[in-house]
This record gives sequence, structure tokens and C-alpha cells, in this order.
Amino acid sequence: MSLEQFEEAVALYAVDALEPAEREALESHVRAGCQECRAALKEYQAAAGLLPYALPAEAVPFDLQTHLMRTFQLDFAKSGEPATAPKSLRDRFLNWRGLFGQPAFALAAVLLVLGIGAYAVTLRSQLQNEAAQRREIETVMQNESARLAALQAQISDQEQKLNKIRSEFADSLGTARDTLEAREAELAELRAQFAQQKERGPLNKTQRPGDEMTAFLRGSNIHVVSLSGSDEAKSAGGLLLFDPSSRRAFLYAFNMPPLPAGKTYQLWAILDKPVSAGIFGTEPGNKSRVFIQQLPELSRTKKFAVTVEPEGGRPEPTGPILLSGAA
Amino acid sequence: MIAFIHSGDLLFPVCMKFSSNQSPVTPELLGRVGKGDASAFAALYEQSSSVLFTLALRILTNPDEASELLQDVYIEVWRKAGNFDIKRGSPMAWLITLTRSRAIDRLRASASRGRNLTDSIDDTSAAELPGDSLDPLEIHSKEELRTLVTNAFTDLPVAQQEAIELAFYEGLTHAEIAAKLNKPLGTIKTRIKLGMTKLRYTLRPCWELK
Repeated sequence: MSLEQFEEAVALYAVDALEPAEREALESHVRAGCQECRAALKEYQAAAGLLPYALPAEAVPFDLQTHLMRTFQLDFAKSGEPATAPKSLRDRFLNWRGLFGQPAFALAAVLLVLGIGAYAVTLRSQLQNEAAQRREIETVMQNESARLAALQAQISDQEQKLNKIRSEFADSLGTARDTLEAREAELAELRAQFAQQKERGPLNKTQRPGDEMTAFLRGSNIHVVSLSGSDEAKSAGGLLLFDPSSRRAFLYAFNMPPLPAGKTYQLWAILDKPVSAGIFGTEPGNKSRVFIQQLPELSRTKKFAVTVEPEGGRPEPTGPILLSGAA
Repeated sequence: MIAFIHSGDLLFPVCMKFSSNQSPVTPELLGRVGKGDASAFAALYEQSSSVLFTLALRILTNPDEASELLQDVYIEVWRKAGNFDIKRGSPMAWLITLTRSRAIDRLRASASRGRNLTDSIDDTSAAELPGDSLDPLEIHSKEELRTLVTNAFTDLPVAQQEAIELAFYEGLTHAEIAAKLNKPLGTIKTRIKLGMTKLRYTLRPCWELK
């Protein structure tokens, strides 16, 4: 090798990159006394020796220390144990004192202390973590308790609302029952009147005003349709008596809401489409009575209804339905 | 061109002082270990285990293998530290050389390759040829040293870093590196030479001539 080649080889030697023959040549050269190469190599080796410090530091496994401690204990057991057992207490004490002087024993003790210290640090860290976890759990439990209390308050509120609805429903049901009873009473009264008229009929053969009505009520084929109030007139009701053969009818309605000015009630017979059966107003006591001479074809009538319409009535219903009932 | 220093000089670190809670791995400390001083060994372990484990792991890449290797190194240091000759170099450099050599040997053994570097601290290793104490850890804290060396190394061109790493951490010769990277032999030699020369001068403030 030339001097220049040695100079280059020195740098490669420091990181162990030379081939074996080159290594031997350089070592011989340095041993032969080349101070320049020796000095350069010293610095290159120093630089190479620092390379591991450029690596990201890795944590040393804890079990490495533990294993070393165990090895030194074994070392001590092999070299530090006396050949024969001590005979007296004093000998034993001296022997134990000797043990403390044993390097291996002392080293094992130091490593044990280091190990215990590391364990204590680990334990402390674990305790701190557990305390933090406990605090976190307590916080979560507090939050859950608050949520539970809020839910219970909501449930209580909903129960109160439900009770209120039940109470209102019971009131409505009571009112409906009362209305039904009132209608039944009205119906009974009407039937009684009808029966009286029927009885009186044969005795009164002279034609007086109202005889036409009387003759109608005497008919043997009178049909009765019960009319119920709609949402617009919940307490209203009515009865429609009709004779399919004569196509005459009598409407009696009660609890009818007062008619606004310029409005009238209109009775509809609903076949395929509504057909007007007449208009009427109200009497004192919110009652209505109307005698209808000519109903539409009753055999196909499915339903009767009463609506509020502009004065004079309309060919088709335009206002709200107040009464309705199936034929 | 390498700038040579005068023969017979001892190189000493400069500038920074070691922090009070750290004791450097001095020849005296290693001497005490050699005499069976357990507290000295504990100090040596505390000061050196991090960098030695990092080095072993970098070479072997397996934490279990690195740990096992370091156990062997420390047991041997404990049993034979008395044989350490200060002329071989600084204790820390010696520990690094020993750890690297053993790790590379293990790497080669697992790859069924020959060429052992260091089998025992009793051997006179060629890697320890120059001798003389030169230990940056005598005055630099480990953190300062890490920063200094990391900056110096990462300042090198990537190709130079790669060539040096393949040699130092994977134990490849320049011919093997050239083959691995499919580059001419001269290119690899030049990369290592330039990189190491720059490191030598950049890291020189870590020591000075006595």
C-alpha cells in the first residue's frame, strides 16, 4: 500500500470496513511506527466510537438488570461459600461478615437495591395510574348519577302529563255519556209524543193544521236515523224520521250552535254525491224542527248530514258538517 | 488529505463539564470494578447500559438478543475488568467496541459467516490498536453528546451515512457494501473516507490535545 492508500485505509479501518488483508497491512504499518497513521487512527476511532450516540436511545429492559443480579448471586454461591460449615456462633458471624466483604455479594446487594428502587418507582407509577383511573371512574359515576336524576325527573313529568290526559279523557268520556243519555231521553220523549199522536190520530179525523205532520207520524214504515254532532258541534245531535214510501221526513235537532248572520242549516242526503234535502234554521233553545215533503231517492241513500251554508242553501255542501248519521 | 496529529499525544475532551449526578466511565472506575467494587459496577452499568443496549439493538434488531448479548458483555466486564489495559483506549470506547464486536460476531454467526472481531476482552483486538485515552464522556453529559453526534452525523450526505452505517452496524467490508449497493468499490471507499473525515473534524471539539 502507498501512503495515500494507508491514509484512506485508516478511515475505513475505524469503522471496520477493510478487507482482512488490508486490515493486516495497515496494522503492520502502524505497528512499524507510522505515527501519523497512528494519530489519525486514534481520532477516527474516537469519532467512530461516538456513532452509537447518534442512535435514538432505546430503553434498557428491566429484566437485564434482574438477570445480571441472578448471575452474580450464582457467581457468589460458587466462589463465596465456605468449604466447611462454621462451628460456632462467632465463626458464623465472622463468616457472614466475610460474605459482606465478598465483591459478588456486594454487587448482588447493590443490584438488588437498584432493582428494588426501580420496582418501587414502577409501583408508585402504577399506584398513581390507579388513583387517576379511580378519580376518572368517580367522575363518570357522578355524571351518570346526574343523567339518571334528569331521566327520573323527565319520567315524573311524563307521568304527570299522562295522568292529566287520563283525567281529561275521563271528563270527555263523562260528557259523551251525558250527551248520549240526553239524546236517549230526547228520543224517548219523541217516541212518547209520537205514540200519543198515533193514539190521538183515529179520534181526530178532521183536517187541522199539522194534520199532514200527524199523518206522517202515523205511517207504519217510519225509519229513524240518529245524527251525531261533529267536532264543530260536539254536544249537538238529532233524529231524522223518514218514510221511504212517501219520501217524507221529519228532522229534529238539538243543541245546535247559533247560526251566524246570513247562514242557514242545510240537510243533505248522500247518495253517490250529496243531494240537498232542505234548509232550516233554529228555534229557541237551539232546537230545529223541519218537515221535509220530498226527500231524494231514499233506497240508495247511505248517509244524512247537516252543514252550515250561506243563506238560501247551496247545490253542493260548502260549509262544515255539524251533524251526520248513516241511513 | 488527513491532518495528522503529533505522535505520543493524549487527547482530552474540552468545554463542558459532567453534571454532578453523573459519573463518567473513567479508567479508575473500571479499575474499581476489576477489584470487585460493586458500587463501581453499578455506576458503570448506569452510565453505559443505555448506549450499549441501543447499539446492540441497532445491530441485532431483536430486543431479546440484544439483552442477552449485553448480559454476556457485562458479566465478562465484571469478571475480567481487572485485565483492562488503559493503553487500549478509554473505558467507554472499549465497552462500545466490545459490544459492537460481539454483536457483529453474533450477527455473522447467525448468517454463517466467518471473521470474528473480538472474542474476549483478554484478546488484543486490532480495533484497539492505537490505545491512549480519549473519552468524550469525561466532560460531556450524555444528552449533550447525543445532540452533538446526531447533528454531526445527520449533516453528512445520506450516501455517506448509509455507507458508514452498513460498515459499522452491519459489519460489512467496503467490498460487501459495494456489492450490496451495486456501486464501484472506489465510490464506497470515498464515501466512507469523506464521511469519517468530516466526523473526525466536526467532533474534534469533544477532545483536545494535552
